[in-house]
Amino acid sequence: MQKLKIYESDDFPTYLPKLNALYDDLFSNGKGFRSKLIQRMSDHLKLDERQVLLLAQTIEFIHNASLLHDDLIDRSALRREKTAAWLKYTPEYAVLAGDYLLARVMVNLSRYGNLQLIQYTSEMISDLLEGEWIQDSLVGDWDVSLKQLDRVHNLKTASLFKWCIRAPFIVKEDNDEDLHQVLDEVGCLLGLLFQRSDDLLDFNIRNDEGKAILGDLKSGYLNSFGSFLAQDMNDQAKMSFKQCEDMDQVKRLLGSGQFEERLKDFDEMNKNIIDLYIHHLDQLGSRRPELQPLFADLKKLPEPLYWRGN
Amino acid sequence: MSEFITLEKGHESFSAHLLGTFSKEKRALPVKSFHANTDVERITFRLVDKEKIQKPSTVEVVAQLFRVELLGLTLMPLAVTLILLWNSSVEVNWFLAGLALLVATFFHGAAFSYNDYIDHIKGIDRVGVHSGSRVIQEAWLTAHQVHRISLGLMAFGGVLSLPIIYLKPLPAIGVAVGVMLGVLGYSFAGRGFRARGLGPTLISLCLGPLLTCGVSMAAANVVPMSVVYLGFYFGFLAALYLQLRHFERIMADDELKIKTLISRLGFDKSKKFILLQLSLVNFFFGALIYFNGWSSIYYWGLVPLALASANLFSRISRCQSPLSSSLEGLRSSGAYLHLVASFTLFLLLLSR
Repeated sequence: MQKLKIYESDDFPTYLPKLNALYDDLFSNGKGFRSKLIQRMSDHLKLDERQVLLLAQTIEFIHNASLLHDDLIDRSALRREKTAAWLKYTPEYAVLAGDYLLARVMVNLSRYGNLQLIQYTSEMISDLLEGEWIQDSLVGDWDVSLKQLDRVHNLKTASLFKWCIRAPFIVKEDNDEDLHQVLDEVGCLLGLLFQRSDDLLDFNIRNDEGKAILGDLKSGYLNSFGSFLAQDMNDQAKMSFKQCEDMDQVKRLLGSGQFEERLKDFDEMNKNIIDLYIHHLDQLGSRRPELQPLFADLKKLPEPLYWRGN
Repeated sequence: MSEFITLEKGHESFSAHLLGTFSKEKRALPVKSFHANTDVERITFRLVDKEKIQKPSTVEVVAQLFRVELLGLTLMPLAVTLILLWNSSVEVNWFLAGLALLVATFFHGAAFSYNDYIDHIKGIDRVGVHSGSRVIQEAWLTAHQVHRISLGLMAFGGVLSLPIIYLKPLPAIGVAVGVMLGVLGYSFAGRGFRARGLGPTLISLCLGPLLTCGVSMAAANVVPMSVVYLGFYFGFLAALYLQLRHFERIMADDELKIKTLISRLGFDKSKKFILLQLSLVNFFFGALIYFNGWSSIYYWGLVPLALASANLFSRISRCQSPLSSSLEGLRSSGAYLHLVASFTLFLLLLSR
């Protein structure tokens, strides 16, 4: 797959001080998973280069705008092993840089002229912001259930994955309602798997990328795996859980072998989600046989996404 | 590996899977509906072996289906009214009174289990809102079984109500309609009422003065003012219960575009509105004692009520998010508050 250049300094005004330097830092180290998903979808749907770039830029701009704002909200010092933008530059610049990316998305989409795409993208941004807002309101809530967190993640994370799955079809002007309902569900499940896998990284599970351990816990936020671990804990145990500084403490708190057992249960639960995801793709394949190669390709995604394999 | 099957409405096995009659060894749990409640509905079911389902005891399953936690909303107004009449030395036909309580119990169970069945068939329980008893969704019972149970309860209730209808037709029908409308105001089927903000009004009338005055008329041929006051107090408590339930679901109702009073007010204003009502629970209890001219010893009843309402007050005050853990189970706490108030009144009136 050809590497897409999402960010070009020519696309942004050079007279705005520090803007391009900020974006250089932001876009240089990302995995670009979402834009790769767009490319994968677009290859099968035979979209042209301009369309692929539009979609890839849109999703990466929106995603990175949310990261700029997130880091300021959470007061995170690092992003992708570099100093976070709000800290390196100023909080004001971080906010404005995020807003500018969103504005650029609207400029690009409106120039392209697909009204349905514009409408869907604005709804997605709205969902994303709603999810962020609600997630922030849950900081410090140590009794939040997995079910409630899934609703937050559906807004915050899954909305982008749903967009990646559906937007290429919208660009292709394939707006079959039935197809889009199922694609929406497929994107939702993919987003959920991604988020849960990301939450496992926080507990050093399959953490090959070396993400900081227990960052969510230390920020006062119970992520999906944290909530799963805490669901049977009494108040005293939850207090101790909250204060854990490293994984040894977490494992000691749960008891010998219990952590591995709980992880196994969590993985088992997510295997059911993967099975459901594959089932929906099979159903789509039988309804739209001409798209079977696309759906067969999408079936491979849980491996890198959840199991963090290749 | 999980087993899934997706069926369209016209498929020959669709109904059998939805009702749970397709197999003796397996249950089909709906996990996703597309085009819910339309002619082109398609449902994805997860098939599980019946023996692998972790089912609680039969008593727990029946209690959950029957909504035992809500039985107080239906029965306690009747019971407290009867005790009030006895306390006021009014002549009560205890045979009819006992029958009325039994009939109300059966109709309560029938209405809620039928509601669960209908919500399942229409797909309401699959649109992301976790309401109902969950008995069907957890595969503890099939939809077909729940339907039969609801019809059986309705039949029992109907048979038991015959003497009441024969002897006191108008009050009997009034009470029955009151209970049914009350459940309608509560359930998703009554979302039309809720959309017009009539849910709390319906509930407060039907599970309040209609119930207390109806049973007073049926059992004693008289409706003293104290029974009317009592009715309005119970109506207030029932409406508060409903609002707590709506507050618990404020985000889900907004997503489904169900405009309840709570969702119209929004999170912040609803919180204040409910906190105000929780304060008024105690005030109105005191007013009930005062205006009925009851003994001042009855004011001691405020102690357990104040404790229960303070606990709920504190929980709601702490709540900062529509998905906060403090909101989970809020409706059960509302039902508990109703039970504390009504049971306190019952004991006070019983003590004479």
